[in-house]
Amino acid sequence: MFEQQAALFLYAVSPVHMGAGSATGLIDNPIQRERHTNHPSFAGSGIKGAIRHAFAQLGGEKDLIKRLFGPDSGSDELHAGAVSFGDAQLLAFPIRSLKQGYVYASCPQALARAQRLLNLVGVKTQWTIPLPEEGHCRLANPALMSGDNKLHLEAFEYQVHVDPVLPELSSALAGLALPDQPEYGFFREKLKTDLVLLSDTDFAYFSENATLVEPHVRINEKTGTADDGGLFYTENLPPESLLIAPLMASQSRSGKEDKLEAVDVMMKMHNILDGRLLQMGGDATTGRGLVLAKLVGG
Amino acid sequence: MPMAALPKYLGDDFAQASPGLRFGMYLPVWGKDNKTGETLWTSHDLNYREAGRDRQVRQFKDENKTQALNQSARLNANDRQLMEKLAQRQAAAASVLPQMLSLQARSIAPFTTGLGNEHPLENGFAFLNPYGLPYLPGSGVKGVLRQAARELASGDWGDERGWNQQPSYTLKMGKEPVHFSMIDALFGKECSMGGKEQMRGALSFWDVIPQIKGDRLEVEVMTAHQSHYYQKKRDDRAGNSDSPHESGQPNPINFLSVPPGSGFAFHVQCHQALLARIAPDLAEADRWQGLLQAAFEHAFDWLGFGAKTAVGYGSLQRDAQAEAAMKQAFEQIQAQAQAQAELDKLSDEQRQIKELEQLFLATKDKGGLDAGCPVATQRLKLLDDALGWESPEYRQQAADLLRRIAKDLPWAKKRKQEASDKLARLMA
Repeated sequence: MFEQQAALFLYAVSPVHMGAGSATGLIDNPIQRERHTNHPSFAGSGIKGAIRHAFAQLGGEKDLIKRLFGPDSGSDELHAGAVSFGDAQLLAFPIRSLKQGYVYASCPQALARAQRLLNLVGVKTQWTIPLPEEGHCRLANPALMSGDNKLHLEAFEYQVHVDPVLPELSSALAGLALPDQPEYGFFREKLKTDLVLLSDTDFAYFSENATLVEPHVRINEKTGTADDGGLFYTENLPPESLLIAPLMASQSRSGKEDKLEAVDVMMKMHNILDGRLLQMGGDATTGRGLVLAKLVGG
Repeated sequence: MPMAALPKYLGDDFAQASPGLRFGMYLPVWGKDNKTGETLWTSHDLNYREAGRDRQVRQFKDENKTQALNQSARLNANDRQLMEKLAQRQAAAASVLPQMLSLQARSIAPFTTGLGNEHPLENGFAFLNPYGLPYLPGSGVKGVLRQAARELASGDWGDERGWNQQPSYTLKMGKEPVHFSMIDALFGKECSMGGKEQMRGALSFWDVIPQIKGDRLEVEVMTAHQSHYYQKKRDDRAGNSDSPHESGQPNPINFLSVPPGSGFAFHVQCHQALLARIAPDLAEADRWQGLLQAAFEHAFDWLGFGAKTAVGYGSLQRDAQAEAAMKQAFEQIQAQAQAQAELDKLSDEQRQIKELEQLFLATKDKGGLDAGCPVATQRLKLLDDALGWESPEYRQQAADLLRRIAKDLPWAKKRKQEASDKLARLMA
């Protein structure tokens, strides 16, 4: 039984490619998405694998890996691991705006799911989540608006309702989700001021169509020019995206070594994850998949 | 007036949008026929002016490309701030990671990249979404460094600086042992489709966000003279021939570049555990760092980063000054954070004492101690506040500090008497 629960915030600081295998669409290498919302997501297995892989590098003790994450497949001694990562859901998504560079967009659906998750793991939140209609949005920073109560994201226009309670929500979110080191201060403040709430439909449109697609070519080492057939397009979750995943811990179950209680297991996860930079997903060697982790609750 | 292909409600003031957005989506390049008012969906306007010996009104095609690019090349204050904060965040994140090599360089030639991206003006540019700022992707850095390593290892440049191409390492994959070189160990081994000998390299190359000098990107021009030959297009004006010759029609093409003098910070992370397993001697005493620095120097001098390196673009120079400045800035941030954390731990009384002490020391250093300075007023406030404190320990600490300050502060006699009376009460 998982006795300890926490929520893991993942904040992308470089493009992240959690690949979904081969493609049927225009993009050669698409990213993972939830079936029902079509929002980008990180599969729990991918998160667990990345953290297991980095465990020792993050300062964890090597001989704990099997007890915490379970033995390698094909091992003689099979037992369950003591930690369980759920899928990460999208919570905020950066969208290019006519003013102030970009905004952090979210929607009632994403916020309500995050709130439900936080409450389930024992982090009590009492956000009042406004419900903007399609074509409308809520925001708090008037510097984002053009002219007459309009917000322009990429080439779309939204009718603005300035919402005085939004900063309360965004401050709570920024406080929970982003590590408090000074180098992240600018982005923490921007999340507080430039959170924009769209309708579920409008948000889904951007989360599907406004990801980061990078072209790749292969340079032939002999000729120094681009190789034929070497051009492909890879989709990435853009940097400044914010996701949230559940993390659960039980006592260790190897049966051989000393037993670790669930509280200790969770403590170990806090020690290696809180405020740390992780690498997740593909293309690690070209700087993709750098995410900041923050673990709350548990 | 050319316009952008956008809905009317967006208006035509894009000064506050990022360069990437102005270049990619808000580009006012689509021309108009100024007689009919019709939108042409070409990059030129049709204008009508009197010209020629007979002063007849003729039709002119006026190109909008340069003007459109120029307006997209500006960086506003918001862009500059974001560009700096991104670099700082990267540097700070890199500085706390073990097994990191960070280098600072300055460009000594224009830098451009992403020219092959689709764009209505023929040449694209690499802007990173959502910031809309130029970037050099990690894959671009990695490719150049791998080539630099290969060139050094080949020996054609004289000193190999530690690099070689010998397949001196072995790893068992499946049944067959696989042999590979230090270049494969650090940069990964690729094999033809379906092969099983693939291996990831130990090094990870982060994206570079150039710190642009000045407040704009440059608009540059390249002029192809042989397009009739490259495109096999016969044209009467070019001699109706598709062979290369000297009388082709010049075809100027505009593109964006990052001006020389801009800053480039490279961060490379080593997967130490992997390297120690596959090539232990490279992991030992951080030998990979020396090798990589040599490869960087070779790349700076001979290869260049980004596009058009064959004509000198993307040449960089290591910038020791910037490296020192970055280190100093980071230490400062750390020290500030530490000082703040210490202050946060203190009780209200201790904090008040500490703050006054810091103010006193700072003012004394500057030689600004006089009867009306903030230290004097803060001192009186502490004296009054401390009289209301209960803890004798804090009272004592306050009194000690107040006495120290009193020695250095010039006083009016009457005030001094008052203050020392209060001080005596504090000690009692």
